[in-house]
Amino acid sequence: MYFKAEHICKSYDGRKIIEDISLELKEGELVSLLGISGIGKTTLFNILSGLEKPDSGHIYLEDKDITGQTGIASYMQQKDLLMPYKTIIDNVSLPLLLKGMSKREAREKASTYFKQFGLEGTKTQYPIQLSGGMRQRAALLRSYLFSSKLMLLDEPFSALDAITKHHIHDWYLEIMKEMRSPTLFITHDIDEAILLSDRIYIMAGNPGRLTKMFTIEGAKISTDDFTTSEVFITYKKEILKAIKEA
Amino acid sequence: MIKKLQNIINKLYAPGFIIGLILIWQVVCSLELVPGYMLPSPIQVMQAFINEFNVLMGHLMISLSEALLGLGVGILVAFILAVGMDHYRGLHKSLYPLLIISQTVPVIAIAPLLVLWMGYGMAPKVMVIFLVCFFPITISLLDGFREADRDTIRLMKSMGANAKQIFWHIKLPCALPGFLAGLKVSVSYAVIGAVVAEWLGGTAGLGVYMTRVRKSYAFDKMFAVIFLVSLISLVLMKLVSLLDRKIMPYKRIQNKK
Repeated sequence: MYFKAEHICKSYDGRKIIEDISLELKEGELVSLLGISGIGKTTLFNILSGLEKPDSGHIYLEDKDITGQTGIASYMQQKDLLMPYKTIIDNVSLPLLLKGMSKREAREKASTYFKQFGLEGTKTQYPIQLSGGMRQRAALLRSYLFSSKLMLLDEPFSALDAITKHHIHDWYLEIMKEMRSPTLFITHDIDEAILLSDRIYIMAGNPGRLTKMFTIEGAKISTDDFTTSEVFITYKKEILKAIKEA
Repeated sequence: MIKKLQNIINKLYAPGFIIGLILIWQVVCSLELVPGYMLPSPIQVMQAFINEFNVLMGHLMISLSEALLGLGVGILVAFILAVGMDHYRGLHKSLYPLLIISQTVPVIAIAPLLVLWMGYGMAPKVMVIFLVCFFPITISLLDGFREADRDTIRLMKSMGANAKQIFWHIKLPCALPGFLAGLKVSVSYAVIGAVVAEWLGGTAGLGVYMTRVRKSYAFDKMFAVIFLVSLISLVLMKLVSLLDRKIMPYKRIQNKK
């Protein structure tokens, strides 16, 4: 297995937040974690990204123990966290700079992705000049440039309005076809989870546990057709049921 | 076109008002409503300024170099203090109260002591300027470092950034707006600080000149030097504003929105 988390537990001040979470990710797979807010999804991500250490459990990337190590998985949040004082090109090339590349090299490498990410013409602009959707694209490119080995996306599109979100889903599926970065995706939007994922874990309970897993076998050729198809509705019903039962 | 005209008119309000005040002043003096030996007319002040121009410039250079030197040392010390205090919590806890207390000590009152200790040269003046300038800069820097977004710092940590990189890419740029605001206050303090320090003793500088002309009741020269001091403060503040625009181009875009 490409990426594996085994028996992750974490408590704060004696209160258990997440308990015995194990999950796996194949190469090129997009897996969603679906659950209500406050269930400990973000805590789990902090652990997976190495920002926090689990009380018990281990994380493996290609059979190497990476528990508590930062700098391996890239992490993107609901807030774009672009720096207002840096131009878009400097924002997205920042991770390359952190890795020790020179400014010129970093800019050059980042530039090659601008077209693909639909960010043409924004290089010398500042984040405030971009729309919310464009800012999330820039944030995603920054995450991708940091690490394509494993991407952790924590509700990346949840702050966008419905129409922008719709567009960005299309765009995201398109771009993931080429990137094929193994991705863990946190969301509380069931439609989004079904649309984007290869598999979905349901996270529920107190402390948070993974209660169920779904494999989504939908031909994601056209998102419009898929989201209104019978298969899609069936998945949605099953997932809703699983969430209620938990 | 109309908007442009409107802009020009808006910009004329303040200068227009000042010119109006000077005119009233001139009229008051011309009609001798106030005795001439107590209040010189603007024209007399202007004349004094022109006659004394070379002398004034000589003194100005001294005061200005004191001000810039004190300011420079102030900025340097403020940076070292703020960075240290931001990095080491213990240092913050022990120094912060001391910083506040240091501001309750009236610098004007200890200035004569400084002269006694450090002599009549530049040193006590630079010291006074340093004492008034470093505080606003230190505090604005500290606040700025603190304002750095926690989530962004976490993100950078998740990317494996070290403390130096976090400082350089997040903390410093976040502190810049505050630093420049503090600097704007400090440059005017610096010029005034230089003049006040020179009152207490010395052989050259605008403050020394001011004491001399006051003692000889040359009010026209007195006003000339007062205007020069405020002019210099304005010029320095303008320079900080220009620096502001130069190093923070995104601010202007933000303000336009």
